[in-house]
Formats: sequence, structure tokens, C-alpha cells
Amino acid sequence: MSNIALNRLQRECKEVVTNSEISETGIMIEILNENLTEIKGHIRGPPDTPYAGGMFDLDIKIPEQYPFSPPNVKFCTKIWHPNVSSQTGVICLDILKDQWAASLTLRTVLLSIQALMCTPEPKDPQDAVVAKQYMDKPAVFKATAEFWTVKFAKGHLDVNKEYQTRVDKLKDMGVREEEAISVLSCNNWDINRATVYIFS
Amino acid sequence: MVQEKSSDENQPASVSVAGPAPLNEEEIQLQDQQLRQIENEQKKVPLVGEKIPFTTLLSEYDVANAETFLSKATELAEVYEHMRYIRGDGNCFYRAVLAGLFDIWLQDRPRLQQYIGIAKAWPEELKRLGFPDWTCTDFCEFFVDFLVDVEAGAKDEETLWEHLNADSCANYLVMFFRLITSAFLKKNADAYAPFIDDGLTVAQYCENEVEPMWKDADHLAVAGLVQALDTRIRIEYMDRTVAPNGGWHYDIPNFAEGQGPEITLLYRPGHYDLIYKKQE
Repeated sequence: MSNIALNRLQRECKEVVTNSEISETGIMIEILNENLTEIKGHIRGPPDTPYAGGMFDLDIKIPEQYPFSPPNVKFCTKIWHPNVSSQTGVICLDILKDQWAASLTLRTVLLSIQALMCTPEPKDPQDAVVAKQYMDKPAVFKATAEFWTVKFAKGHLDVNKEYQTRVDKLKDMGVREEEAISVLSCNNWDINRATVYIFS
Repeated sequence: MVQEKSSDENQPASVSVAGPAPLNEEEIQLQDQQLRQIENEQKKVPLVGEKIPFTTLLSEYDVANAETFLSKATELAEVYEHMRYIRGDGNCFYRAVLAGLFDIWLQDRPRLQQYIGIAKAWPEELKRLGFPDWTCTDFCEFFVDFLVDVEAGAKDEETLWEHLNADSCANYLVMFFRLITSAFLKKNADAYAPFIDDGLTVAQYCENEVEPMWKDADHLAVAGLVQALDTRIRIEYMDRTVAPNGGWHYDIPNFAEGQGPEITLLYRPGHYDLIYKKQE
């Protein structure tokens, strides 16, 4: 990365850290290496969404061509959202792909992801299973996303006992908790179908 | 809590949703690989090539496969003496104009000073039009500083051409062009709105097509940049069916006879190179 890009990136990092206390905007970054190519992002789950109360971490990698190519951003906290892969955390967001512009910054990226958490775009999904649930069974979607927030994003809501019982049942059969949650979520919490999926 | 009672409880878990299916990991990897291949191909050509005889172009075509292009190239070789190949990375129009201006700046000091004046006026204009503040004005400052260096003779000609071929520097200059192109179109949105399809506003069009790096310039972007820079360009077409006026060349803006273009570009479908006229 050139010096000019590095200077700009330093300024971008400061912009997030100083302009925006996490209490105010809900976004924060942590710099992981000296040349600023690896950064950790944090987004507080926006209020009035299934993500409320959670803290979501993101891996941000700055490419050689920055700021002409977008930063590579994905969730490392597992999240149940139509535009985020429930498996890999990859995000489907136009400004992280072909709508990236060199005038955007880490701050605008994190705020855009936060906005996406408030307003999913199920018609342009990253995770088709989640998107289908979001459109067809909004109540199940909401409960599932809340469950994931509690389990993976340090959310402090009470855990959904009914869902937890089903997760525990699969755990008793020797399934890892994370896999149990994932498969149950993909099967609208139908334990029979989840069991068939795992063991067949 | 939620107890879902639905009739499709026994439906398989596989789903289909409207819109394009998201790519799986393997497909994403394959796509990345293909993109890298294309990128590596592109990188074989320098950002801005050396000035070479125009007749080099003739060797690209042979009578058997490209007779029309060969005869057009031969015809153009009567008028044009030199050319520079420009890398086809989506920035070729912007970069060709930049390289063309470079020749002028190195030779015509008063004109260089005019360009410095033009460039200095843009940051305020960008702010007024609501562009994100410091990231945009950074590009303006970089551009102005670069021209001031040229004027001061701080770098010799060879070094300057090296800068134009170095990603880090050259792309900042190109980005300035993209921003002022967008700004010009947004500022004159009423005039340009009728030319935009798909129900997009001028601002949306600029954000989709002009501001992102690596996106080809279409006629609107061409018109925007030329006027934002207050220059005059001529585009020679190898294939006149794609010229906006159906002619062999196209002048922007429509300048008077006798007042020649400052820069001339050669357009072949999807790509611009820089060409130079024979001295009279």
C-alpha cells in the first residue's frame, strides 16, 4: 500500500474512533496490525431489531488497491440475516462490491452494515434459506435471529427456552451446539427434519 | 415465544427465492480466480504506453480477418503520426485524457496554469454538491499538488511519466477525474437526466457508473469530463456505427472549425487509446 493510502487509512480509523463513541453510533474499530491491513470492526445490534443487545464483530481486510477497491468485510460473529451467510459471515452489500467508491470510508461502511441489520434486503440475499424464512415466516425469522444474537453475540436477552430444549436434544445425540443451532434454524426449528438432515 | 404451525412442515428444506441465487463458496472462488486472470492479462499492458508510431496499429489487423478495420487504420495513418496504448482496466478513457493533458502541461506553461486554476476551483464545488467531505477533497489536493510540482519543474519529465504509470499515484489522478465528471453531471442534472435510462436519477447514475473505479466511461461521462476540464477532444472511431453522430469522428464539445482539439482519442469497441496528429 502506498504512503498516501496509509495516511488516508489512519485518518479513517481516527474518524471512527473519535467522531463516534460507540455509545452514540454503535460502531467501533480495533487496529490489529501496524500497516492497517487488518482491522476488527464492532457493531452494536441496533435497537428494535432481533440483533438488539448483541455485539457483532467483523473482520476487515484492506486490499493492496485500497481505496480504489473496497475493504473485504465479513462478520466473524455468527448472525442470522438474509444478506449475510449464516455459514461464513460473507455480506451481500453493494458498496462492498461494484458500488464501492473511493470516497467511502470505514465509517460509512460500518454504518451501512448497521443500516442493513435494521433493513434486510431479502430480494438480494446472501443466504437463501434465511431470506426464504424472512419472507415466509417472519415470526420464526425474528425468534431465530434473536436466538442467534443471544447465543453468539453476547446478547443479554433471555434465551428462547423452547429452542434451547431442541438444541439440547441434538446435543445429547452428539451434535455440536453450533451445528445444532444452524441446522435447526435452517429447518424452521423442526427437530425431526433437523435430525434427518444431520444423520442421513 | 413463537410456535410455528404451518402446513408445509413436511416440505423439504431446500428453497428457492426470487432473484439471482447467491454464489456458494466454490463459485465465489472460481469467480475470484477468473477475475485475477483478467487482471493479470491487463497488467501486461502498462497503464500508459510509450509514444509509438501510429502505423503500429496496422500490424494488429490483417486483410483476411479485419479488412474494414485495416483500411480504416490505414486511412487514419495518413493523419496521425503517433499513439500511446492505454491499459484496458475500465479507466482507459480517463487515463487517456490524463496522458493527453500531460503532453500539454509539459509543453504549454500558460495552459498548465489555467488547468491549475480549474483544478483548484473543484474542491469547493464538490463540497457544495454534497460530496463526502475530506475523502473527496483529498483527491483534489493530490491533483493540484501534482500539477504545482509539474509547474515548479520539481520532477523531470521522465519521472512524471513514471508517476503516470505507477498505480498509487496515477489512480489518485484518475479518481479526481471521476469525481469532477460526476460533479459536472450532477451540477447540470436537468440537462443530462433525459439521457439516463432505467429510471435512475443523474446522481444515482453517477454513483453507479462514474464514481466507482474500473467502470468504463460512456458518452455521458465523456461529455462530463471534457466540460469539467474545459478542454476539447476529438474521438476517432474505427467503427462508425458506434459513434454518437454516426460519423467517423466526434468532437466534444462541438468546437468551431479552425479551433482544433487539444486531445485526440482512438475508440475501438470498449476501449480508448491516445493518438497524436501529424504536425502540419
